[in-house]
Amino acid sequence: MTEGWWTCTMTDLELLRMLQDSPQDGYAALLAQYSGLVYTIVRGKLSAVGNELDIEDLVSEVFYVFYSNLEQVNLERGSVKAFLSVIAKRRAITKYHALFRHTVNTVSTEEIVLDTLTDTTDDAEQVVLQREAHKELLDALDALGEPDRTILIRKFYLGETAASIAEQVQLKQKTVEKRAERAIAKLRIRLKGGAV
Amino acid sequence: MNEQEFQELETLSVAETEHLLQGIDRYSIPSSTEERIRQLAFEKAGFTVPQRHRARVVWYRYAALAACFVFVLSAVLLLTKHEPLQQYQPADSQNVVASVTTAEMDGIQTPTNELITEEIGGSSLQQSATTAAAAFAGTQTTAVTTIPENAVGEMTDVTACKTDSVVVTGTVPIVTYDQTGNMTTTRGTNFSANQVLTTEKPPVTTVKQQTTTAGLSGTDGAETLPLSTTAAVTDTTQPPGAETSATEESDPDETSEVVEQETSIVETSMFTTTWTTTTTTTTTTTESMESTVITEVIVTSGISSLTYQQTSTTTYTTTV
Repeated sequence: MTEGWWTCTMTDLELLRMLQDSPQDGYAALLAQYSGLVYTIVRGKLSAVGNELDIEDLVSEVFYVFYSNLEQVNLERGSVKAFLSVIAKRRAITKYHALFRHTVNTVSTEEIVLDTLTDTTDDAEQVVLQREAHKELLDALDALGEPDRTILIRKFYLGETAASIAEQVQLKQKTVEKRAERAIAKLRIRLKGGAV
Repeated sequence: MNEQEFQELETLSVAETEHLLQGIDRYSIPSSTEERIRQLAFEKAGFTVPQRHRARVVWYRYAALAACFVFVLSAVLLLTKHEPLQQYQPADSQNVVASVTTAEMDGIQTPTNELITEEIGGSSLQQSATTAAAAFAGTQTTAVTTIPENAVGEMTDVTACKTDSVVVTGTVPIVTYDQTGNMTTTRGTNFSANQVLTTEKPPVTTVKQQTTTAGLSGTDGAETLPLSTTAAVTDTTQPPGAETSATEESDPDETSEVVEQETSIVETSMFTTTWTTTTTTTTTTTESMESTVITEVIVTSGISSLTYQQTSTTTYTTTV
């Protein structure tokens, strides 16, 4: 496998196959392809409470967790990107609490991985309610259209700053901030059942 | 909905996250951070950190950047290519050398060949003969404007050869090359050169013509001359008045010199009866000064030069 900024990204299937056939090369390819995504998610959550070393350590851990549980990755349920994002998000939340020395809601690595890969929970009713809420939220976000949808996801899910978002969506920082404000207002109305 | 409420997104499932991140594919990470994460991740997984692989990637990146640079440079060079063989940069025009040669003639050529050469540098222009070149140099404001080799300008006027200076005015042709090398000649900026004559003043040719008419009629007391006598025509004595006039120099310059003097008796008549001789002498003295000035202005720039030449002849005539 070749790697570099000029090469096309590998498909998830190719990546998983490489990880199985040639673990080290596959691991390097996985890192090259998704380190930006995982770093963005982890940094977005931990930048306020942790330092750069905490962030880098957690990012590297996310990849290791993924690699260690490779056999549980099912591409029919989601892409490598989605799996890595969920692992990163949940581990970042745990780390966030740990840094605040919160003991509650702290779960082990194994629990996070299991939860991520299987989406299992004991409370079926809770799951249904949660998924309905998620669906409603995702639909409302989609209804915003671009670039507002991307701005809100980057701001609230990835935890990016307005400056960073502005660079990615190629708008002025002030514009991004304004659009985010208006998009949240629209989202609130939509989630309350009103027309936007 | 606010930031707190948005935490709902943190509990998304894999499928929901898949949906959420659809179309969001660009993420930034500092290269040094990426490298440290790579090392940490490799260490955690028990792999050897692939330094060689990394080095190769860096090498490829530099090679690709170098190739891009060469490509862009080549494109720029191709787009800005100029073909004219005689092209002078503005810097060349700043070093215009003006040579003004003035030769004076008065029939007998007496060229003075005084050469005044002065280098013009930027704004240090002087009111002298080199003004022409300086004015010319001032027109060379673009890189594609130049003077063709052996170009001939047009001199429109030469004045004041009577006094101690010569003023030369004219125009300089400007030749412009376009990017394909085609040449266009346009009438250029006027120039003026004021050449002070420091050599000897132009010599003056003074021509004096005397006309003496001898009329004969029979009157008392007249000298009788035999008809056969023809000696009367031998009287070539200059009339006194004529001689006096001939020595007067009426040249306003007062430095003229007489280079030729001619006196002649135009007509003498004789009668053979009773003679009374009345001699009427009409003397006409004409002084003239003719001065011819050939002024040559050479303007050079780089390997090109412009030569302007004009002959001016002035005749001063005084009738006494």
